[in-house]
Amino acid sequence: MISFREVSKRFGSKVVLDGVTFDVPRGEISFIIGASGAGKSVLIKHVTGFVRPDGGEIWLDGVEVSRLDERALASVRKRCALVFQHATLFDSQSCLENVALPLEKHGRSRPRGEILARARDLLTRVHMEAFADRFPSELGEGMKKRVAIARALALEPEYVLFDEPTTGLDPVNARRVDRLIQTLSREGGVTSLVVSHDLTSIFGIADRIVMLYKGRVRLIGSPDDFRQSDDPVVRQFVRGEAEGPMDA
Amino acid sequence: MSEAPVVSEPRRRVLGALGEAGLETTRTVSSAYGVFVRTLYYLVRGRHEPGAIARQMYEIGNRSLVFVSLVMGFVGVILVYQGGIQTQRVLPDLSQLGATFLELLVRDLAPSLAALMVATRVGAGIAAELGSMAVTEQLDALRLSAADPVDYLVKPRFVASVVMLFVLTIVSGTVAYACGLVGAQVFFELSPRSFVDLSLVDAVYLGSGLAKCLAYGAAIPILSAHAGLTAQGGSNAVGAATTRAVVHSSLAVIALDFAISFGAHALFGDFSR
Repeated sequence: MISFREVSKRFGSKVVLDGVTFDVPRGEISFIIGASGAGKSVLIKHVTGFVRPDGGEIWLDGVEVSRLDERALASVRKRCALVFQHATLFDSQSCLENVALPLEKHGRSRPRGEILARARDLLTRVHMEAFADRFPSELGEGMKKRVAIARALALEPEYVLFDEPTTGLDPVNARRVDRLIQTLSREGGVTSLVVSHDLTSIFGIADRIVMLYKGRVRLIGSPDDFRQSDDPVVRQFVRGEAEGPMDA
Repeated sequence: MSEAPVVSEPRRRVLGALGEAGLETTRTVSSAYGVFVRTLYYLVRGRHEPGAIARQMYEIGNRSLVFVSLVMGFVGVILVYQGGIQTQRVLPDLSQLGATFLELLVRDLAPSLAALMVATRVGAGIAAELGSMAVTEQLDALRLSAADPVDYLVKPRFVASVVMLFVLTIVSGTVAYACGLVGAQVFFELSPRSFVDLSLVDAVYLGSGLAKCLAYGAAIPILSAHAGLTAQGGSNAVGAATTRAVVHSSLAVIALDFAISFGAHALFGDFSR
């Protein structure tokens, strides 16, 4: 389980997170939603140690991540993968090499052939096997995201954090990514924590939703709890209304 | 009770700015030193990737060769021409022109000028590449893949730069000397036999030149990579990192030139004859 306890973070004078507390139960698909700039991406980067909190704690299965040094974070990052908002594939490497990289770095004694075979399997899982030898610059955004997901799955993580996985994708590719997240959770037992604005994704696959507003948790609940909420801020967000109490 | 001295507002502002600049410089040097130490660590303990080093040697060495040689060729002709004119004002004898020029090239000009050109061409390239990787989160993606960016990106560039700066210095120094030789013949009708004179080059000069090659070859990729790795923000951050890389690398070349020349002088005394 991932637990955020009173996490606070500011950049200069801007308070981004102000005492955020919630749990991400194992095996579930949890979504973090909120307006742009609400601190959603910053929050999930705390789990992998890319951002350190100014206050509060982040726990991953009983280990306090926020206190770990870079060396100790390596084992956290092996168990907890992050799919970035932009695919972040390495331009100088083919899709196959991109997916093989974590396998090479973590399994230095494994034969190269075995690593490449495993990387091909992962690309097949995201339906990208036909593009194994292509370079990222030759692919569309949706394809790059799928390769990035394959790379994130290379080390068989127990947790996968997705930072706006469907942003910039056409509806068909977006639903494919949703299905992939769902398959990972239902068949692979992976715990997914997804940052998203995509209401179709949120209400399509979420087990649990956490809404951030002004640096704090506004509501935690199931998709039905959000649909039925009387909170005007929640209502405005889930209905996508231009007018309402949310700041512009 | 004595009163505290009153510092005027403009002076306070100047002192504050100086203090801030001093602190920023200390932070940058200390952080770049950290990258240097980690690079040395990975040289011993990291993964050996000859392919990556060979690619960087091609990028840093082969692709700089024409640019560096061309500039050094012009520098060779200009220096011999200007040196010859200055000498003729004092005495009509140009017999030491070639020997003095070679001494200057070996001791200082060949490594320092080649390094300054590498700092602009290669330093900017390294900072832009790593800087754009930093702002697009590719460096974080590398860390997630258990690949330290210093091991994966900085180390190959470091090794390639140290090796190729030696090569570039030797080749471009030879080009400068050859062009100087042609210049001496055209402008002063000095025969190649009189120009080619190794008598002023000794082991200390050679050692000092080689030490400079090594120091510049190490400093340029470390400072440029550091500028790229610490880029934060958007495309303007990449531009700022590129500028920082060129400025820091060029300053480092000049500072190291001074330090090594001074050190050689302190160790071996006045070795000029």
